[in-house]
Amino acid sequence: MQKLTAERRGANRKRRASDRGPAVIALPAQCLLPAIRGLHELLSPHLEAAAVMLDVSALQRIDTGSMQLIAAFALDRARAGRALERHGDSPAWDEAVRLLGMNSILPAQPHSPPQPHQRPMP
Amino acid sequence: MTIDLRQFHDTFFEESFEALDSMEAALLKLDIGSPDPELINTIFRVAHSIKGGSATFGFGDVASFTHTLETLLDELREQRMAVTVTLSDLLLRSVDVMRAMLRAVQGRGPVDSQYVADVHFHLEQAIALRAAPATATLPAPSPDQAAAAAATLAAAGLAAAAGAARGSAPAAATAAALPRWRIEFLPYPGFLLRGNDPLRMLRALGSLGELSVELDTGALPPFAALNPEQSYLGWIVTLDTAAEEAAIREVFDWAEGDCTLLIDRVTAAAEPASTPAAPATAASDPHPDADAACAQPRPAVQPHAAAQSRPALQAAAHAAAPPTPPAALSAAAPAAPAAPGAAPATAPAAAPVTTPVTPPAAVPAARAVHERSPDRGPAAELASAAPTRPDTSGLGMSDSGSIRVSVEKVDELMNTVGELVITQAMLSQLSRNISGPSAEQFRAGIAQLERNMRELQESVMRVRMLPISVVFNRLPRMVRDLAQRLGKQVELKLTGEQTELDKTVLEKIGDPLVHLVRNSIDHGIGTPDLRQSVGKPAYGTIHLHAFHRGGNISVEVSDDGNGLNRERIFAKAVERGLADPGVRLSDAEIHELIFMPGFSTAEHTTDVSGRGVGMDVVRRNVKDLGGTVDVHSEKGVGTRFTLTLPLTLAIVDGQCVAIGSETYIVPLTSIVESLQVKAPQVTRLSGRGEVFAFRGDYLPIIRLHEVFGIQARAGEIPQGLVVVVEGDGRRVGLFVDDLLGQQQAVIKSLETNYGRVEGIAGATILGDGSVSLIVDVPGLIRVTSLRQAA
Repeated sequence: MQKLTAERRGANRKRRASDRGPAVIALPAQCLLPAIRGLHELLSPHLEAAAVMLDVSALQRIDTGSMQLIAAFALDRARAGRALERHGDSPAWDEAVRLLGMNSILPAQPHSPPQPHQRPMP
Repeated sequence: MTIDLRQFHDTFFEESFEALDSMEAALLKLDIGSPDPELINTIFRVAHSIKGGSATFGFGDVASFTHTLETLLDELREQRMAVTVTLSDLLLRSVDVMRAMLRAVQGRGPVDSQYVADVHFHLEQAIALRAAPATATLPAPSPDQAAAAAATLAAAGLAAAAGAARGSAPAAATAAALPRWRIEFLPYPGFLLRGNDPLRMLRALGSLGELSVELDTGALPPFAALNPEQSYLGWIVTLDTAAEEAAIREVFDWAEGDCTLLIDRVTAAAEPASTPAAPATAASDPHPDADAACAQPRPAVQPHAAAQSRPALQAAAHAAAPPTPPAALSAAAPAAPAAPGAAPATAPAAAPVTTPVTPPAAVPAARAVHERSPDRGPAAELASAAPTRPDTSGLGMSDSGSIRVSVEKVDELMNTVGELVITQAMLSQLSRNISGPSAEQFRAGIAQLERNMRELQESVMRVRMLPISVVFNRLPRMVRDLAQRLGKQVELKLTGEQTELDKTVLEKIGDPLVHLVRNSIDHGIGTPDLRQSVGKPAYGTIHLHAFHRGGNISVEVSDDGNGLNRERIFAKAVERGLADPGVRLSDAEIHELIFMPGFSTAEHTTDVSGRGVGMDVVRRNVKDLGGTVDVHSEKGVGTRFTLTLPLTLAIVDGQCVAIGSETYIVPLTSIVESLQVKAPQVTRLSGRGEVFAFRGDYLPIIRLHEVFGIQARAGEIPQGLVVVVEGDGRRVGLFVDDLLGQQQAVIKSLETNYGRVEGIAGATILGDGSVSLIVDVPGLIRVTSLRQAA
């Protein structure tokens, strides 16, 4: 009984850790140059987070400056083997990724429910 | 070496204000509901370049405001928003704000920061509102619009883009036979701050054909070291398109000087897309000048790799990269975890990625084709460090083949020409008295000099001439705002806008025209209901028409309003003691009353009118210019004011007349005829001077020697001559001793050098060095009328 409880406790601990899931960064509707410092501040605390999900569902407009910033964020994380996922649909995001040639850097397709674990990046 | 940007400030302000005027005019032309895309493009580019210039000079507030405006305009341009009356108002208010902000930056007055913030807020709100219910309220371009875009492209020969716009023919199939272009596009660090956005350019390229994009992140620093406002990325684009090179270059028109840009036609699109293009060199470049100019040394802070090494590295990386590189951020990536902070041997971004981009069907390709042709002359290259000139192409302002010269320099030139005219007159006079074997030859030379002088003078005069549209353009906005405020519907018709006038004359007639038009709206044109009740269309019309007449320019301001209310004017004149109740005044006398200072028939004083100042300003300014105002009005039909103005104030063709020992000059444009009047023709009126019979009419005689207090040689009318002149719509005979000859007179202001003298327009220097006064005919008629009335 005690052993079972201990196993369950261990499982619960794991579940709780995974339940917390990735940190979600919700991009605002307008990601444009005048507000780019704000975006920088939004991303900075999550640079070293284990898993980050970029919620683009509210995004309506984004420019190259903001995409460049997010690309740098993603590349730094990738170099450190950390994941960056995308959540939500945004035609503006898809268009920017496609036109700027960032398909391999930034997640183009939305990741539906947050995954408990992410495979490390090469 | 650093460039002091302040040297460009004046030019930037001057051009920005001009551009804002043009932007305002274009906004007023926007058709609500179905705006001309080209007009929106033009407005967008004006905003864009003002933003770029402002950012360059560090006018952050202006740049920020204009950026928001530009975002909104971009929505319009992309047809994601419709032009509504409210939006049009907002855009016009934005122009006001930009004007005020630029004036404030110039130090020409304070700016109402609350108003700026309000308008800025409304702009952002409009963008946000558009963004929220996008699918519901702002449909994508309709099939008709897409078809129209396709038709436009097809007409331009852009087959691929046309296919894309139709969304029918597969792009790949179309692209198979299309020429392939390789575009290396490397923005400089300040690129984004200049208001440029590579995304917009790539989107425009995408609308031209099939696009493959290779991103170069080689210069992108780590996130922590990155300046978010600086540009670090570069692109190599492969474009399969039927579009001309000019169309491709036009996409980057506004990036000129802010990037390295190499455009090469590489090979047919049928060849494998992965074939790396040969690095562009000056030798292989079909446009060495343009590209060399663009590929300037980058600022020291530029972290990018050298442009030359870039293609080779990219080609190698491209060859090494798998067709679908591992999605660095996908679950499919290799499992081996990297130690935190460890730099992997092959960072994902080191390899440029080729991404095929199909032109989105819903995006009208036509928008990428700007009407402005590339202008990459030496001056443009030289000015690459300076801000981009606000683009006003398409608004009737050409920026080619002209130079900007300060008015002072032109005035200086004009003065010198004036002195030359005097010297030439002196030589002409001397030549008449010369005798001897060379005299004829000398006189022929002088005659030649006179012709040349006249040509020179006319050429210099033309430099000072500006089209009257400069003044007319102020009016549409005022008419729109005022009519809106007063609940009236007014159509403003402008004709003869290209009629040219001297700059000084133009500056002085702006206010009179504004007053006349305001009066027409306030007093002349009734409300739509009122107009319809008398069988007139709801829309009232104000027509401004400028044209040449004789040696003068006439500007007519007419409306189809109520006409002057004769009875009311007369009653007001009686009330103010200006007229006797029992006297019947002529039309001319009634019209004269409305120009009197403080005279107004308005029952209430409003901020529009009622103080009796406007018409006084009209008369005074026009009079100062040596011009006249005529009024024609018909009750219930409308009113027409005709302003007659001299072409120039600098030089006048005059008739020299002798009065005693003095010489006066009468402008030829005022002279009708000169004649000797016989005694029986003259009739003396008791207390009201004398008149003479002239072609079935009786004209008053003004004895100039009496007006100017000079001892005349001829005491009686038959002993001298009468010069019939016309001014202010009236004819009089000027009695002089003799006619001396005609000559050009350079007008020197008497007011500036001495003081104002009624009846005198100015002074000039004669060939013998003596000073002669120039008669102001309308002024003289008014002075003598008043004296007689007194």
